[in-house]
Amino acid sequence: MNSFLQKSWKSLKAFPQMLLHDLEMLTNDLGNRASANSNPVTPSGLPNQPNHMLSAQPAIVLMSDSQRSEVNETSVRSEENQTPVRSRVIQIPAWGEVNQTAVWADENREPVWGEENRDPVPTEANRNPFLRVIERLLRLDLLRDAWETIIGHNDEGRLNSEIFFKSFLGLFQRDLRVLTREFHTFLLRVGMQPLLFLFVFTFILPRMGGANPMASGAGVDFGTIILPGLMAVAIMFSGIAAVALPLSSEFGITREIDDRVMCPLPLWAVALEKVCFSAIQSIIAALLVIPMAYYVPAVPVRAHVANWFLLVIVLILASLLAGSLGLVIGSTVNPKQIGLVFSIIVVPITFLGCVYYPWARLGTIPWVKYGVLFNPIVYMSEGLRAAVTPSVAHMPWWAILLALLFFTAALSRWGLRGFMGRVLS
Amino acid sequence: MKALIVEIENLTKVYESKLRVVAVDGIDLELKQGEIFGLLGPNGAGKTTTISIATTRTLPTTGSVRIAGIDVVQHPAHARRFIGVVPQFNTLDRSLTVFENLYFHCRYFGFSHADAKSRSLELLTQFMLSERKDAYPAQLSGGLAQRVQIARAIAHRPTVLFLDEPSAGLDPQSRLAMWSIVEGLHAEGITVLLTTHYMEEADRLADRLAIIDHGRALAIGSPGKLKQTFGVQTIFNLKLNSQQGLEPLVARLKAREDVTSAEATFDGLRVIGANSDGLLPELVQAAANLGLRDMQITEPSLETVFIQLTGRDLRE
Repeated sequence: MNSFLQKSWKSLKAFPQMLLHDLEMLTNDLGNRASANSNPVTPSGLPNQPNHMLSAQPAIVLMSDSQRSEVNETSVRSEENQTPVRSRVIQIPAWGEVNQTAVWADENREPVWGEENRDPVPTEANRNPFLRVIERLLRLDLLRDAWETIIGHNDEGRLNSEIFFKSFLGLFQRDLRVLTREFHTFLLRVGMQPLLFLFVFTFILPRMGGANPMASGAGVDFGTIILPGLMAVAIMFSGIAAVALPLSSEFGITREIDDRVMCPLPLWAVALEKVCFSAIQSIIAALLVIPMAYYVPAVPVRAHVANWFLLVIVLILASLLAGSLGLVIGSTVNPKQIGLVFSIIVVPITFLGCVYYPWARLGTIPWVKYGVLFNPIVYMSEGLRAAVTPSVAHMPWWAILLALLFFTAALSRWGLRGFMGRVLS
Repeated sequence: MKALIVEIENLTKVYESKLRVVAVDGIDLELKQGEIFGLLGPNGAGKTTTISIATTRTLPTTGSVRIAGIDVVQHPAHARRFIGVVPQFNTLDRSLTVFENLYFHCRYFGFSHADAKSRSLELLTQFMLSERKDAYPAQLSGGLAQRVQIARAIAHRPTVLFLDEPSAGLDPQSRLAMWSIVEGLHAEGITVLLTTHYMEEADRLADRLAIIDHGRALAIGSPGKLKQTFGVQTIFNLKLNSQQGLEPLVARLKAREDVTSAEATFDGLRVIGANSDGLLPELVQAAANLGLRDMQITEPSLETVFIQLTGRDLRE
C-alpha cells in the first residue's frame, strides 16, 4: 500500500515535472536563438544537417546564378578520409543565407557545387517562442509527424500514408473482431450498472411512497438529473475498461503489446488507435443508457435534445477524454494495483463528478463547487446535461467544451508519454 | 558482393540509473543478404539489447542501425516493415485464434483481406499448423507457440528475421524442428539474426557469428574460421580428491610452452593448451598423486573458442 502511494505520488509529480522540462527546453532554445542571431551562419564545411526534430527533408532546388550572390567560401578537409571539401555560403534574396558544399576531387578544377539545401520549414531556433510553448505543451510535434505521415511528402525513409491507414485500420479491425466475439459480455458489462441504478432510484424508491430522499429539493425528478450523469459514468467506465485494463495486462504479464508495437506505425498511432476504439465503445455504452431511462423510471424522464450538434461533439470529446484517462491509468499504473486504482481514483471522481447532482446546485457549499472543477468527469456530466436535458441548470456550453478539450489534450499528452516510456526504453 | 541488410555501427547503450549499466559497448556488425548470423554470448552479454535496438524497441545511446538502408532511430515505423521479430517470450495475441493472429498481423502490414487470408492459410500449411488454426494461444504447447510466432514474424515477408533465444525453453524435438524451419527460411533467402547461448545451435545454424561479452564483439567470423583462429586449444578438466600440492603443479604447468592457462577450480584443475604429445601423460602422472578421479578432454570447438575469449563457462 505504502509503495503504491509512493508510486502514485511519483507519477502525479511527473506531470508538473514534464511541464517544467518543457519550459526548461524552451528557455534553452531561447538562449540558443539569441546566440544564433548574434552569430549568423558559419560555414561548417559539412552539408546542412536536416533538423530531425522537425522531420522535414530538405527541399532540393537549383537556382540560376543570377538569383544568388556569393558571400563566403571556405575549404576544409573532411576528417575521416582527407577528401577536400569546399563550402560556401551564398545569398539568395528570398531565403537568406544558404550553405552549399562540394567535394573537391581535383584541386585544379572548379568543384561541382551541390544543390542548395534549404529546410522548407524554418529551423527550430528561428521559430516564434510562443508558438513553441504551445507546441511543446500539446505535443504539436507529434501532430506534425502525423500530418506529414498522412498527407506529407513520401520521401525515401518515410512511411507511406497508404500503409499508415491500412495498418491503423488493421488494428481497428482486430479490436472490432475481439469486441464482436464478446459483444454480449460487453453489453452486460456496460449496461448492468446504469440499469440497476435506474431501477433502484427511479423505479423502486418512488413507489415506496414519500419523496425520493436523494432528489428532495432538486425541483426536477431524479431520473432527469441522473440520465446525463449515468451516460457520463458509462463513458468513463468503458473508456477505462477498454484501454486501462487491457493495456496494463499487456504491458505486464502477457507482453502481447509487442506485436502491435511492431506494426509499421508510429508509436503514438498505436496508442491513438486504442483511444479511438475505446471512444466507440464509450459512445455505444452512453447511447445504451437512453432507452433504459425511457422504459425504467416510474416518472418519465424529461429529455430533450435541442442541439444535436452539441450532443455529437460532447459525446465524441467525452469519449476521447475517457479513453485518454484510460491510457494514463493503463500506462502508468502497475498491473497488480489496477484494482486499487478503481477504489482510490475511479470511484471518487465518479462520486464527485456531478453525476448524481447538477453542478449549479452545489452553490450552497462553495468549496465543493469550485473544488470539483479539477475533475474531468464534471464536464462530461455537465456537457451531457446541456445536450440531453437542457431544462436542468447546467454550465455554459463553451466552458464545457473548452474544459473537455483541455482535459483531453492534457491527459492524452500524459498518457502518450507513459505509453512511449513503457514501450521504448 | 551481396547487399548489406543490417548495418550496425558503433552501437552503445548505457542505462543510467542508480547503477550505471553499459549493456552494449561499441558493437559493429554487418549482415549480408541471405546469411544466418549468430550472436553468441552468455546471459547479460548485450545480445538482447542489441536486437531490441535493431528492432526499434530501444533507443541507442550512440551509434546507428540501418535495416535495408533505413535508419531505425529516424524512421522506426518505416523500418519495421522490413523486420520480423520472434521475441524471447510468447507474445501471441491471446484474444485471437492462431489463424487470426497471422491474419491480423498481415492486415497490420497493409495486406488486403484476400491477401492476408491466403497468406495465413499458406503459412499454416507450411508450418504444419492447419489443424490448430482455431486454437487459442493459451491452448498451445511451447514448441507450437514458437512455431506460430515464427510464422507470424515472417508473414509480412520481412527482409530480415530476428530470433531472440529461439530455442530457450523448447524440448529437443521442438528445437530440432525449429532448426529445420530456420534452415528452410535460409534456403528461401531470408536474412536471419539469431541470438543464442547454445554452442551447437550457433555451430549448426550460423553462417557467421559474433561472440559477444560485456557488450563487445570479441570475435566475428564463420564457426569454422573461429575454431581455426582461436580454438586450437584443448581443454582438460580434471577432478581431484585433494587440493593439496595443487599450487606448485599449477605453477609448473604454467611454465610449459604448450599450456595457455592453468587454474584451480573448486573440485580440481582446468588446463587449456595445445594437445601436444607430452602434456596429457604429464598431467595424468602429476594428478595421480592428488587423487585423480575424473578427467574430461574437450577438443577444439566453439565452446573452447568461447571460453578462451570470455574466460568462463557459459552460464545458463
